[in-house]
Amino acid sequence: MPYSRVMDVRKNVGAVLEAARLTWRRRELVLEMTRRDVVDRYAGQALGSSWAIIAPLLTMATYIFAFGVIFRSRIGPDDNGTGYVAFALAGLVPWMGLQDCLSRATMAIIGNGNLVKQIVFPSEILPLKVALGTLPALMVGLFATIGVSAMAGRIDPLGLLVLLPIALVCYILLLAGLSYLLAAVGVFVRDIKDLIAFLLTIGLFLHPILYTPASTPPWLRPYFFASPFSYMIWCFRDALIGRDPEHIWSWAVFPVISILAFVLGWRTFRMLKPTFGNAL
Amino acid sequence: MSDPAISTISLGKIFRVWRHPSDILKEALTGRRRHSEFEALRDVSFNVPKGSVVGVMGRNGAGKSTLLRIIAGTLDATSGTVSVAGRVSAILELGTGFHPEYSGRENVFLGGLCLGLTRAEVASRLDEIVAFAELQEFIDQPFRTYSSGMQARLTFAVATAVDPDILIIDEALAVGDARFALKSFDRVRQFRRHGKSILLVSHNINHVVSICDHAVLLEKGRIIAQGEPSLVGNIYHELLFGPQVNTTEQLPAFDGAVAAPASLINDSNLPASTVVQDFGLPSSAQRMDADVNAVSASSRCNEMRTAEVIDSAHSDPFASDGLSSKATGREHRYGDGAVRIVSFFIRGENGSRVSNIRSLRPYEFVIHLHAMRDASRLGVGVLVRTPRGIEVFGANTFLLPELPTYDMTEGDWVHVRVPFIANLGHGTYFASAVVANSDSVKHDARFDALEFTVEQTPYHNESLTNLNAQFIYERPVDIQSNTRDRAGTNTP
Repeated sequence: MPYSRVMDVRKNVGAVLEAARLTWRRRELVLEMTRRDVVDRYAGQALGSSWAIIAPLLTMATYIFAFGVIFRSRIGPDDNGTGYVAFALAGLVPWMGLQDCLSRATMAIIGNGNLVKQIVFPSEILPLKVALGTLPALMVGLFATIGVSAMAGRIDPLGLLVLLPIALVCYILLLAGLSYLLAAVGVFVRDIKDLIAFLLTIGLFLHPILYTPASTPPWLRPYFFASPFSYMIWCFRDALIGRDPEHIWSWAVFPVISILAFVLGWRTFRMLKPTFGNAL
Repeated sequence: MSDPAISTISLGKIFRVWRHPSDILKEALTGRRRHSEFEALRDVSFNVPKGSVVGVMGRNGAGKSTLLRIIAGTLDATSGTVSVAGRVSAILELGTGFHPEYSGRENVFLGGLCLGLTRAEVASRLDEIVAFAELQEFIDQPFRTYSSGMQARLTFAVATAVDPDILIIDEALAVGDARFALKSFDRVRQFRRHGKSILLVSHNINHVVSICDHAVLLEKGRIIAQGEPSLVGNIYHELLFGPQVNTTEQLPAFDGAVAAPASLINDSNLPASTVVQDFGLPSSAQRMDADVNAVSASSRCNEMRTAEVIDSAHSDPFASDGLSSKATGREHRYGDGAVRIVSFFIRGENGSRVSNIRSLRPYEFVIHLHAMRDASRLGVGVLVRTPRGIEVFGANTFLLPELPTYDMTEGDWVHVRVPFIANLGHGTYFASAVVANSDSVKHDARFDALEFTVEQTPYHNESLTNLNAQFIYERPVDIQSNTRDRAGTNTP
């Protein structure tokens, strides 16, 4: 019964249409809130919103230094190092966006309790702005990755012009869906904030992000397939550093996962929304 | 009549309270109940007709905010239904949605967007909002630097600028200075004229009475009275200042007589006024008509009788003249009965009792007190209000330091005379009399016990008071000398 309810096609399509309508009608508010979300995070700091660019670049540099320079990871015999950097960045950039988004999504409703409680206001915008707020940093990361990938000579127009936009749309859907889910559940189960932070930290090492295919222990590979985020990483990698015939079917799995995540998140949020007031 | 803007049908709200957050998880996993329940609202039914202002009164914790939040849609109801027709704008708390670090201008934009306006719409209304909030000089300063009154003004200005069909205001009118309160009232009235509906919460009885068409009184999550604001205001007043009574206690029913007009009470749990019954005083309720409409009807025929209130429990010679049992039809009476106001009337210059008085003439209120028990440190107060409940004049002996408090022993009689000049404009007024001790224990409070009419004066227009003003034309002295010649030619 719960399964058939979750999979109810009419309700799921309805959820997507509902979300699209609401977002479009309140697009100005969504944009304004997103803008403030990015700006506010660094409000009052000397470097201001430049931190939105500096912080992810520094983090990426650290990982690249550790794996590319110290561990000397290479993706092939003819790789002088840029190949690995592009490879790692293509996985690291979407992962860091995910990390940033999910860790803040758990607080999207709790942290705005007075807004949700006190004014007639579409609270659906709060998780969405968190998801959209990760995009500026993501864009910076993507540009860096494209630059390195071009240096390594691995960029191809099909990937950049067709695959990357598809991957980005799916990525936003996935982020928004997970944000809705976590924001709604986070209202009632506040522990989820710490649980998510922990999972995201270890998740970096349990996904095919920094490991080259050659260096991945064979026993770990089946676990990669179990995680939905692996498909996201493979898709971004295809788009950014050339297609990998081994994971070509990720392009079927990733969109499905994204849409399901969005629908599930939206519907959970809408279901729990009326009861938020009890827990805030 | 068209559908009401807001309609609630036996609304109920039960909050679940978990002592510890982990109890939520345990309950979800084991299915065993680990919470306690708190009933915030029970069986709340009322309507807000289109184009009307409805006030919700009640003490702290009576469930007012819970009710507003359910209507605004930020909280779900446990039982019952709410239907809301139209765009709602709610001010449930001051300054919400406003970021303290942003300037007033940025907050107006964000607030307007939150309430459903587009950026262009906010821009076109910005000047009006800022002008209404009177924050022209401060609009580009951070919101946190505003005083609470300024924050309130900006919140109110933004919420009313979105042009909602339904406006819900929680206490927002109470802040800000008197001048802004007046402006806010004007805006609320303007809203009503345009057919919008307003639901308003206030602790301030005068606010509710002066701008609402209908009032709802909540106590412990239930509606204990609703109807004519001034009548409901009386019951609320008693709830606040009357003797402490456990209102959840089931009081014995008595011949269908209730503390407020029967139609106004939807529950057998009566407010404290029924306590009057305990010591044999006739409850005001027994004199009240079953319908509020009857109040105005009875006030229309007031010229038939002398304005006087007599306690029917007392064998006063006037008790038999038929005037006593229905003095105003809207009297609200409570108190512990240690001292009773046996009669209360206005005496004219020639010593007779009157109900029609002339503006600016001297009269006196006469209050006959009878002590049923020993009572000390007594004081007496009178209050004059309009039919809508606006207080025109109030005074009590405790405010006069040179006047000692009065002691009475059981069986004592005291006549209190309160001479006054009727500085009142033409119209109908209600007088109240209270006897209390200096600890604010009310022995007998008779609100709106006496109705009287101030006759039309030929020389001033409809207004509450008569300041006995004169108009004197004068020419300034220095100009007078210059114009004397010309003035002289004008007069033959």
